[in-house]
Amino acid sequence: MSRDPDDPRLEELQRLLDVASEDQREILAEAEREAGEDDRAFMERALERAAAAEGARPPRRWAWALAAAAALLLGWLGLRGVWAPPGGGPAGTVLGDDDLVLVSPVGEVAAYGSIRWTFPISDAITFEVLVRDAATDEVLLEERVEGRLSLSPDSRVTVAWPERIDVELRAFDGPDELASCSASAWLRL
Amino acid sequence: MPRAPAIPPDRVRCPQDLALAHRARSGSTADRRELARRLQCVPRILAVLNRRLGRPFGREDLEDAAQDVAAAVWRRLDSYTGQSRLESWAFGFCSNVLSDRLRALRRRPVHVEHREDDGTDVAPSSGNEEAVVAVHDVLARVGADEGVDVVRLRHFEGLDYEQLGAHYGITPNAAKKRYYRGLARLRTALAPFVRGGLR
Repeated sequence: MSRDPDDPRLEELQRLLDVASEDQREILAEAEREAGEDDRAFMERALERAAAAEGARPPRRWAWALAAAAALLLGWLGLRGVWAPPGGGPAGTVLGDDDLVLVSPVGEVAAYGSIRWTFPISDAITFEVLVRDAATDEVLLEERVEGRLSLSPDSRVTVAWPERIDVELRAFDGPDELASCSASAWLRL
Repeated sequence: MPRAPAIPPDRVRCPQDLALAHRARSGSTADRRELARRLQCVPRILAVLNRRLGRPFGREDLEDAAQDVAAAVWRRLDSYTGQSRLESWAFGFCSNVLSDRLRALRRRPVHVEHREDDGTDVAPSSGNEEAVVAVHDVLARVGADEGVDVVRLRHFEGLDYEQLGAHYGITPNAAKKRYYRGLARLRTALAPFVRGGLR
């Protein structure tokens, strides 16, 4: 192997590379000579495990980013009242916005049908329902109901339903507002 | 997974190995078995390197290391360019894995001196093992980087400037310049071993 006499460090590096190369040849020759059936079986299992682990590996970075974006969206929807996790606290806990969930109409629907919601308690609770035309902000329905978790709006709304509506819902215990939520719904065209 | 840089087929030095790598990656069990047969030297390579390093690792550590090598080889199989035999290519991973484990071992507060015999009977140490392992480690880390690959082809595959020129499709003189540029890049990475000198 040619050397660079002008640079001793480069020459030393070349010598190191030659030693490494010679060593590799020796070690490889010896390893290939000594390797047997056990080694082959071990590597077969090891490669199988590697292939299986690759198939089961955690989602890549983009999948995590997508999951984070979905979580943010759900959080935002929850804050907007379009979606909120079900359930509420046991008796005695303070009920908040998350406990009032509008079930329908939410999102794309065939018809607005009945307005339904959930709340951990309904006795002696007054619910205020406000429905607006999303395009014009015109109030289509404003109703207060007590001790119920649904309302049929058709008999109360005399105008034709618009393509898109906004529904606001509030829960009151006497004069105290316990929770509120809102959602948009639109007709499937 | 990193893709192999495009190398014209006529410049691939081990086309059969490259074809086997592609077939094994595509999911054929028979070809994966054939790959395992070709790489059956991996546990022995690790055992020999371990012996030459003064046996810092026991049998179980070496088995774990062999599994790590298999996993690394499998992950990087798409980056194999067929420029050296599969066994030589896997050798880089063995040095790489052992080097990582050696660094981790040295960070531990208690150093275990005695290790069981791994059953291999090898030639006596040349005394340059750490430097040698470091060379392979660095070469494995830079991977298919052409600036350094030329050095590997010159020293490890024994190509002269004429052959290097033919390999890269350049003149022998340009190949020589490329080789020295590669050396200069390696010099920084291997400075501690070069300054320390060989025995």
